[in-house]
Amino acid sequence: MSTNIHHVSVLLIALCCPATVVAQSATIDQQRATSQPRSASAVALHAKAFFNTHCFDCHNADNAEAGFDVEELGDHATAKNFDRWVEVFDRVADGEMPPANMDRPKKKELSSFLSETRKTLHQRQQSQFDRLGRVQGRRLSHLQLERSLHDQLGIDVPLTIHMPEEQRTEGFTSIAAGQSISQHQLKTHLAVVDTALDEAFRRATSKPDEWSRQFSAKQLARQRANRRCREPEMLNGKAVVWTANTTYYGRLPVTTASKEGWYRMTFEANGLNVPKDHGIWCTIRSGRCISSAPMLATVGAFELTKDKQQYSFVGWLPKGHMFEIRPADQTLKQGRFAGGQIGSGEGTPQKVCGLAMSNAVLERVHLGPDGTVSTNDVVAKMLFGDLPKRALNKDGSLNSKAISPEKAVPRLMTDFAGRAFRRPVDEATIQPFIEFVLQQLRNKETFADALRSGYRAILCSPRFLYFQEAPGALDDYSIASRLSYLLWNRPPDRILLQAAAKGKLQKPWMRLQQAQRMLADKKAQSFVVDLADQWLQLNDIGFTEPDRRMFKAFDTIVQESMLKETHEFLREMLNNDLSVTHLIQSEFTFLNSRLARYYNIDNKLAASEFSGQVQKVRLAKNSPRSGLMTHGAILKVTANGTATSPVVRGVWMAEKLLGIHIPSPPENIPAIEPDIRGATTIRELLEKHKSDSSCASCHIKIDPAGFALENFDPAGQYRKFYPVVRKKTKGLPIDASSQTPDGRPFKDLKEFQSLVVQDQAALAANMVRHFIAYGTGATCEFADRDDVRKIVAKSAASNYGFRTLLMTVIASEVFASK
Amino acid sequence: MNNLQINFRRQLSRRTALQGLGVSMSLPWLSAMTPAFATTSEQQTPKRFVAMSLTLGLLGENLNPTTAGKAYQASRYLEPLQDIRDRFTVVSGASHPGVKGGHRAEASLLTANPVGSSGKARNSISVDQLMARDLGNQTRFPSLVLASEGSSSPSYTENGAMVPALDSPSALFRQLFLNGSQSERRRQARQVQEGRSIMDLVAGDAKRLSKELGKGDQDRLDSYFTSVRELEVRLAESEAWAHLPKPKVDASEPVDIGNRSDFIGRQRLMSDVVRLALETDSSRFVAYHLGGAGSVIPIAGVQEGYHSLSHHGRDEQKLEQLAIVEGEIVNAWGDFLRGLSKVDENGTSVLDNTCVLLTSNLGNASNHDNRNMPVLVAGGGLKHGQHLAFDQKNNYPLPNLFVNMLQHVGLESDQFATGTSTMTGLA
Repeated sequence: MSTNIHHVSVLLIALCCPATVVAQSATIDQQRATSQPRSASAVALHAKAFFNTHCFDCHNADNAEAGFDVEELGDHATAKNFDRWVEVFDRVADGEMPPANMDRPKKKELSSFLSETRKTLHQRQQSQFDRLGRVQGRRLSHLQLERSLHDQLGIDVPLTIHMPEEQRTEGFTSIAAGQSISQHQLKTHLAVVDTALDEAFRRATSKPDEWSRQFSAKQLARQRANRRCREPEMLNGKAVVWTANTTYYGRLPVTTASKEGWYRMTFEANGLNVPKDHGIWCTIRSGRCISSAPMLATVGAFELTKDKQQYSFVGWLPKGHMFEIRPADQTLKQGRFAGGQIGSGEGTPQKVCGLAMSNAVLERVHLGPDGTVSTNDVVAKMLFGDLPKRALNKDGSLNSKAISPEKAVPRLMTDFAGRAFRRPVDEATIQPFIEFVLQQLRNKETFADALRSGYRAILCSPRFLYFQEAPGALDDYSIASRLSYLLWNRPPDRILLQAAAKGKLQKPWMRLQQAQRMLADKKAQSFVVDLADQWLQLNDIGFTEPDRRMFKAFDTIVQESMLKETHEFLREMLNNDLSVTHLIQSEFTFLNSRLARYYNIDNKLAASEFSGQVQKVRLAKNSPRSGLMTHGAILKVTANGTATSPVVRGVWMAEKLLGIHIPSPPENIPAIEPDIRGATTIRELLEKHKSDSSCASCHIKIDPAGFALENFDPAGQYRKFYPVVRKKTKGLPIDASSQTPDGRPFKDLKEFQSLVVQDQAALAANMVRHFIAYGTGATCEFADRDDVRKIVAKSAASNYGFRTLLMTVIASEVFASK
Repeated sequence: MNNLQINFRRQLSRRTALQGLGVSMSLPWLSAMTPAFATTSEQQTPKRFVAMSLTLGLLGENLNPTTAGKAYQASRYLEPLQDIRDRFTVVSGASHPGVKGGHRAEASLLTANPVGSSGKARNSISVDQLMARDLGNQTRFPSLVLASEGSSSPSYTENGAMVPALDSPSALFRQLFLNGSQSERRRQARQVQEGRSIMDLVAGDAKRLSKELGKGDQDRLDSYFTSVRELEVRLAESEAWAHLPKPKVDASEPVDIGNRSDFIGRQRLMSDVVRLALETDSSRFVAYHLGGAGSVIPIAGVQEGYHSLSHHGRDEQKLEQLAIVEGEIVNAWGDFLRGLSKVDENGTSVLDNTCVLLTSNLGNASNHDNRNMPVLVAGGGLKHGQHLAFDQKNNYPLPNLFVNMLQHVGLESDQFATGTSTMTGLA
């Protein structure tokens, strides 16, 4: 339940009375309700009368249109029907109900109903928030848990891969109401903690394991020149891979990892038979590269030119995995090789594009949280603090004259717990943990083993796993955690904890000072990526694969480039405080040469202006692209890989960008079934569907944005006609016209965008709600509406700048209260 | 892996079994013990439940026969299953009341709780986990939650948490049948024991923390506390089980299929290990999420990705390819049934004592409709060999079938979620 109301408010005690006998119930009401404020019952009656006059005819038990019976509302909002009340309030407030063809309430009647209802609903929920807070029992998300363990121990091994999928609420994993816990999750947590501790103790007690190896072209290529295989071949002193669709062609067995870890592959390469107007796009991927395990993970993409350049990528290789590097642009002519193997010399006469590597360096590396390297000494410090380096014997016992294990344990445990719990720990909290370690020592466990057990326990404590937030205004340490997990998805750093210790996070301007510092930190580079993954669901981009036959130009490189486009665009909005309207309408975007070609941005321009890196590009006036809503990544995430649906895209746009709430569809109304045979368009199907009035009332809100975007196919390319499967002929022409929910017509996307950006405050309010949800762990509810309004109003001077909106949320009361 | 034989060379004495148990717990029904102790409770043949679930549905027009009742005419998908026609029932026109949300309704598949439409409401216990909670302590594994790929499952605990799935047949095989070296076992036992003390320590910590926080948090911390206690109990149980040797099977550890596209191969491999688990009574309640796949499934005649085919848009070529894929899935399910039917169990077969369900939250994957779910149900002593055709427009509540399942395994309930009776026509 979104409202999570556990206690019925004193204000509104449920009273049973049949809807039809209002007058009679009033007396009962007064008799029973002597102890309550008079206003509550009066308000309830007021609303009741309104419902009876305006709703009852269509929404009663016998004839519940759209599955709604007004009786559900009872006499007043309760924990159970609160969401329904809000829905009714919103629909009446929007003028959607009662419908236009029925008797409309008089102006005065309407405004008094709305203001009274708003007040009671707000009070009802606010009193609960005051008592319990908006957020209850928020837990670290998987990503936050991984990064917390990394920071706590100084390690870098991926951990989320060991965690089961987590529930997302409105796209966010940080929402407490959607988080759950069970013995199974706890068991996994224990296993994840063990993996992390194993790695930390391994590194803290062994020599550095970073190394570096150089490879000549000859070493990268196949070892027996005349064997047909899938490794590169030697040609003019370079290791060459041609463009071809053969699976794991371009694999490099010399890069096979004997131990799992992060590996940096740096190599010099140039292109062969480079096309005139662009370079050769290649991928670097990793995998086992054998037929029983053909799946590969994408590490990166890059563009080769005629001239030799250096490229460098870091990828995680599990034991036995290797890198594969190859040309991978699907629009290029593919070489043909018989039997799925490539013989030396077979590619040259085909004149296909090729990759030629001169040399490579493979390094095993350890990554720090901010792009720096983390050495084993750093890890040792995390575990053993300031104990001298040689204090630990090989068998794990403590070899120190300066300090006994019994003395060292409390100090180390207290320090470790303070960091893990993100606040100073008091004696009573830590003592049982210390006692646990001392008991292990008495049981003849070694110093290292006993300490490890203690750390294991600390990392299973709810103080590590949960946010500690008491009702009311948050204390400084709770604010510090909210702030750092919002901006970094990591625990607070030392500076932030020091600020908390000095009580410096209560004042809004002090919070902002910290936030600005944190956004400038390297740790904040992932902010836009993390946000887009959840808010815009970009981590779902690989969920569907566009139908290869229908969308021939689409490939992995395009997808990677699309993600970069959106990430860099958001970074630009954040860094330059650009207006939130850029989500809808913008004169620029970020492209590399591959995406520019894919988007059909003028080719002549492409040859000279674009490169392998995405860069800010001014869009032509007549370009169909404008604003984040036309980014390839967005268009792809909102389609199923085969066909587009204005409904799916429309709901997505409404919820993510436009801030229009779409109620869930009524039961027993089947969704529209797309027909791609070419005889009917989705618009025609939708028109039929909308002839049902209970469908129409929502679809006038859903469909406009979807229709406006119909000129973009499921793979994000612009089109004027619907495709006909497996036929070269054009399908029916696309009509992107429609009208906004309030009845303003538009003929295409451009006009739609111009209409939408007129209401900047609405777009800003949407963004504020998403920031609040992401940053506090609770979605915005009815009682938060005033706060959202205030934040939006305060940001008006900046033209609702993206950064200003984020900062104003951080400065707000709602951010600093439970 | 096709012809596995179970071979219990060593018959376990009940006394040995009990000597190994450090804590008091109900006696496991070990088939190894039956010959020696065929009395009272042990004599009772175990009743089991297996749920298999699909992400992308099964095309109704190819699955559901056009005629109802005993004399139904086999549909395209059921044609190859006609030799075991009297062992299963096909149900059409049934779904979970109030459940919508397309793919998100996967969370409701075994709970019948309409959780997916909002994403906010808390889910409730799934039918397999309810069985495991009340009857699961009789076997080494209270339940098996499995998937062909990934950790996602339709199994949920009482407090609405998803039970993560295991997706490796070889790892499952090792857990079920390989004992590991003595030092390995000692190390494991030590870790389990330490895990228990940690849970104890952490439970105390949660209690203290709970006092510092608000009422709302206390409820959430209570869930944490409960989970800690449950894990402790579970660890204790597995510690006890660790002293009993695992059953021996005449099969070697399978090799996992690395190719994610090989949907059918993975289904068959995992199904084989599930059969071994049932035959050895290692667990009685299994939820196996077959899932779906985006990629092209390597079967002759199929050129497009499975997910893309499910959005067929009425295109004939797509529909034909989809029919090939789904036909193979139903075939593999049929082979699983045949396998179970061949294993003798006190004069009956394992299939007779196992309720096997194949279903999906999507009745129509092309438009993500959650009504008219595909339902095949086999075994479990129900009345079979029929097509139960309910109203396509006004669906019959599928949770009623779960009531049958609960009763089959021996739980005296007459309701589950929105199911208020057993399903008409099955008993």
